[in-house]
Amino acid sequence: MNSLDFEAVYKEWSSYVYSLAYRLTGNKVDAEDVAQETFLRIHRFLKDYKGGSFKGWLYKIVTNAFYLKVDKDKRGPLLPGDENLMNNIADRSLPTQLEQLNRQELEHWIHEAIGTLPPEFRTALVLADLEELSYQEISEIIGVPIGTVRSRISRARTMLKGRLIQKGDE
Amino acid sequence: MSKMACEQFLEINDLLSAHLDGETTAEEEKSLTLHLRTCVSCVQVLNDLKRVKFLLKALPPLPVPTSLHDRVFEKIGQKIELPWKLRVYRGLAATLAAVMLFVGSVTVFGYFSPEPNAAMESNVYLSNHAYHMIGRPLADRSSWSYVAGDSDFELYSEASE
Repeated sequence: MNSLDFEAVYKEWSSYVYSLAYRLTGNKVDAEDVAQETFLRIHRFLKDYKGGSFKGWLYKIVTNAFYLKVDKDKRGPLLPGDENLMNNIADRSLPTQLEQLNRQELEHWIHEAIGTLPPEFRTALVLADLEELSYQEISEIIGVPIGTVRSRISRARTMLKGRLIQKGDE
Repeated sequence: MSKMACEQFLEINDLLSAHLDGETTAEEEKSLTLHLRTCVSCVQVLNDLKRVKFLLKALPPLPVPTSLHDRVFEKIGQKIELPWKLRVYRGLAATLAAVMLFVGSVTVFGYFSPEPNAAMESNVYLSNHAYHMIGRPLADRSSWSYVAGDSDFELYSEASE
């Protein structure tokens, strides 16, 4: 790899990497840490890239850096009550005031809600809904079977719905 | 899809969620469509999941902080190679800035610093009049007025002479 290659990668992909890191971590400080770690790994391993989906290769590095950050910070375990959350909100709908919130409030609600999801569920959801990847692509990135991806996305959406309902009740 | 599928909550939820993403098989899609015609609760769940998906997709893109670039490139110890034209322009700009700084500093300290010039003028003035002041201390009225800055004192000293 020469320096120009890495610079080109940075220029083209930094917004994608930072955006994904921010959606996963939920805050700017951690997002920058994850993005930095990602680019340091890219710098080290770009010469080993064998082709295929570059985006998939890149996102795999981002998610690994995110998991590393979670392990390092000892954060992200299931919160108390998560196991029962889905049953508790199964018969309830999302609060109607969601669409009436202004943009900033809504973003704050959503980021806060995403941040409460366990990391593996959060990752699957973000890759599906924000990065619009297929289940097959997500399966390759996070290294689990498609059935697991499907289940995680479904549970993450339901948990997120539960968080938003809880937030609406406050 | 049978009524039993609804009771298996996680499974029907997975199916509804996958349906939103277009990730169901043809067979699943067929049975789900039939089920949704008769199951109000599943339609409600599907609508909620749609809203969640829509809310996430509506999040705006984020600007990359410039500090990230500095952190990354500083960490790998690599300076960015600029195009040669940009390097030339940057060199010229630096030279021009240095010249302007030099000219500016000479102008400012050479013409607008009041203390050295005032002190010099004062010394010249006093030395020119020292001779007269020694011989006839009160004869040089202008020197008194210069020192005292008081016209009354000048008149008084003239009268006393």
